Amino acid sequence: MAKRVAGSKRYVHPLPIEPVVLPPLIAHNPLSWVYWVLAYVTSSNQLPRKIPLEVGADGRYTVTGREQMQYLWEHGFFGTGQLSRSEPTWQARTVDRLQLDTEGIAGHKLEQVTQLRRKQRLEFKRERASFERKRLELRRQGVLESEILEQERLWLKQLRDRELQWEASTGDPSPVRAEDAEIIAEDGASVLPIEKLELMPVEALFLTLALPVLHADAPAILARTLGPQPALPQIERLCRLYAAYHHYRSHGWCVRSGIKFGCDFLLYRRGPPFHHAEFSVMVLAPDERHDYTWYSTVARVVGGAQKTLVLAYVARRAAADQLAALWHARRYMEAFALFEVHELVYRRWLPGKNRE
Amino acid sequence: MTEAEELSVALGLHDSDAEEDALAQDWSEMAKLVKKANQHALPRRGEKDYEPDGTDAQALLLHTAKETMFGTLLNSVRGSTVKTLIKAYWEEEQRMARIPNARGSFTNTMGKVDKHGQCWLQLHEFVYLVERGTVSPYLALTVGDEKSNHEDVLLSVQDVYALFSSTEELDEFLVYAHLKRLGFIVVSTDNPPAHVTSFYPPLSQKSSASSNWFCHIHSWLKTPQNLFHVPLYHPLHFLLHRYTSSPQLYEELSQHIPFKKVPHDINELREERNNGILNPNVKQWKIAFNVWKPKSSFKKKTPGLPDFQVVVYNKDNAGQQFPTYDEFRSIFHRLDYRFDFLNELDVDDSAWDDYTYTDGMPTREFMQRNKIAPSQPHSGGDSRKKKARTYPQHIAQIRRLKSGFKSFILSVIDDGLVSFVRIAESDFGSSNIWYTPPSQTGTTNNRTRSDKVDV
Repeated sequence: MAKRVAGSKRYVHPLPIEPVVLPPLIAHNPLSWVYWVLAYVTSSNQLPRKIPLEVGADGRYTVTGREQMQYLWEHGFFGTGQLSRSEPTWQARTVDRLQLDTEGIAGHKLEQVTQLRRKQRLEFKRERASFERKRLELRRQGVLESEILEQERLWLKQLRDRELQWEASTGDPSPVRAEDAEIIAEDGASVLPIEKLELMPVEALFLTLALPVLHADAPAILARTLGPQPALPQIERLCRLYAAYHHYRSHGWCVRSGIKFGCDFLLYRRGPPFHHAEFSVMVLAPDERHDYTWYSTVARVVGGAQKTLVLAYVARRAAADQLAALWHARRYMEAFALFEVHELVYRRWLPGKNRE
Repeated sequence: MTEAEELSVALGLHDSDAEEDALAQDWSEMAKLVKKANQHALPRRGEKDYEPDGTDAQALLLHTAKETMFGTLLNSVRGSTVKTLIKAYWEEEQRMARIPNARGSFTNTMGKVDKHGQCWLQLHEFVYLVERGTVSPYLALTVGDEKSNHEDVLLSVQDVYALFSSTEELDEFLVYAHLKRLGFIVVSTDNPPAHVTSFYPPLSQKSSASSNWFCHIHSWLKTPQNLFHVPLYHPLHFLLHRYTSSPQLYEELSQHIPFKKVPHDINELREERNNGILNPNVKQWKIAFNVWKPKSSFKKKTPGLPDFQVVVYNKDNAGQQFPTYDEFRSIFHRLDYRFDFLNELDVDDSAWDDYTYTDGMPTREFMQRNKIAPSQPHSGGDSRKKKARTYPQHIAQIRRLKSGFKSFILSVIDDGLVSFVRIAESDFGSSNIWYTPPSQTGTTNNRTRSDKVDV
């Protein structure tokens, strides 16, 4: 596993197909022409070996193999590690935790940090509750408000002191747990690769149809997602999602699942390690409508995370028959191209901030 | 991207509509302010208890807070002096209120004066002024046929509210009063000003169909290119093509899914207005109000283009449902306001005069003919605004995407509470945010391509 590498070095390619590097063509040097032509003919954008896609019994699309997972993550941030927050770091983390690697890797501790913070927060809440009880007690006894305030200050100070002390003292917790025996490999120096990279159905389609890097069969993927005899509304819904996904991907956005914020997609500039997502996309049909509570709820959740809500209305430009015909002829990309993306930005408007 | 740049992204983008408007009022401080009367800032509230804990101390705190709040309201001076009393008579026949001799600053933005010098108020204007205590409502009674024989019947606020004939009318009033109280200048679209200004040229000047023809030929010429094109998903594609940079790949990918390009500039706006074909079966939402930001130079007769346009939607009304996309399209098509995304016109009022039409003729010509002084460029404090902040290109691009292009305000009424949503057309398809690795080819040319912005 590579050590911590600067993002700009690690995430050089925004798409899983790497551009070919051709030698410089020098006009007055015929030898360079020959070399250039040779390089052109022998090079290819295609991967030497396509990445195999597995479809689990539960209908999930996964990629296994450390290199493959890493390749998809580093080339456009595709998929999510099943045992990680998003980047499949479980393996490295576990090796790190169990101290199996003699070199001792730092930098894969994102999840640990989260865990630690959650613990601290919980601790604080418990402390606060106990103080609230104490204050109630004091009030019942008829203690003056100013005195209670004094007590509160004292308590806050104590809390802060303890926190500082705790931060200084926390070392690594004892590394090995009982259940770890099952995941340590025979040689005792590594862990079993049980983490998989899971792809959204639209991601799997994109990497199979638009950018052929997955070794997979599109009809099989679709049959798995929609069932063997999908109804037209189901097909349309998938087409809409795919059209939106492809649209944003093709204009340079890094598109990831928006389930965390109750919407369909999140749009990142460049990728999650570099920026927070700036937009949340909800994919809708042009004639689709919900009650106002639906919109305001989504907008609240998204707005609370400092993102802008985009309502992507994906409209079908041709008759339903045409879509069905293309679908059954398995000309999926042409079917997707029947859809057109329209966008509205939904945002709360504050009169006070728009007065001048 | 350096950290400094990232920081500037964070600072530059999250400034405007942050959720920091939830300031509750502390009335005990307010009570002191009423006496001083000169200060306008409200102080922040103190710490809040979450639930009643049954202690006397808490009950006492609550009691004093309530006491000061009601005390503040009760003890301040109320009522109006007889000298400044303005009587407004409700004329049921016209469904308007009449003020025989109107005076006061409200006449700058409200009411219409007829040739007898009487000021006529719309129902919502009437109710708003009654609620404020600016006018006293009277019922105009005609005894027999004699107009002169008026008997003054003073109306109560309840009576005045009873004049609303439908829920829609009441909803519109709620929005009107809310925006009015916040200082905006609000004019109902039911009551157009004497001289209507439009961004769009009158229909007779509509450009001929020739541009359409041109488009056809243009698209025709493009087809041969497509004949030899092997799409990306074709098995042979990678045998025939070599991509030497990521933008080439993106270029190829973006061929597949079409997107709706929304108007970005003056010509596109006008073209869309002329050529846009809309589904006539779609519900036509009413654009209820034109709204101007507070300004002293407002003229009732020639107000010019509004700053915002408002559509009213009552969430609890079973007859109204949230608009679908087609309904949104129809609203966007009818919008006619100061399109704030037009950079070239953002400078001052006088620039807009060159691009708008009043009563069917260019506004500048109209003003000369009617001897109206041209709009003054904003003076004093606004000169600072002219030097609008300029952002680095990549931030400007995101800001543009976030604010969109044409927009309107959807005011949502929920149990009598008004909240606002800004709906804007956006266009992610017209601007690319490709990332190109800088080290790969070593040329600076690549870098500039990735920064390309079509705003």
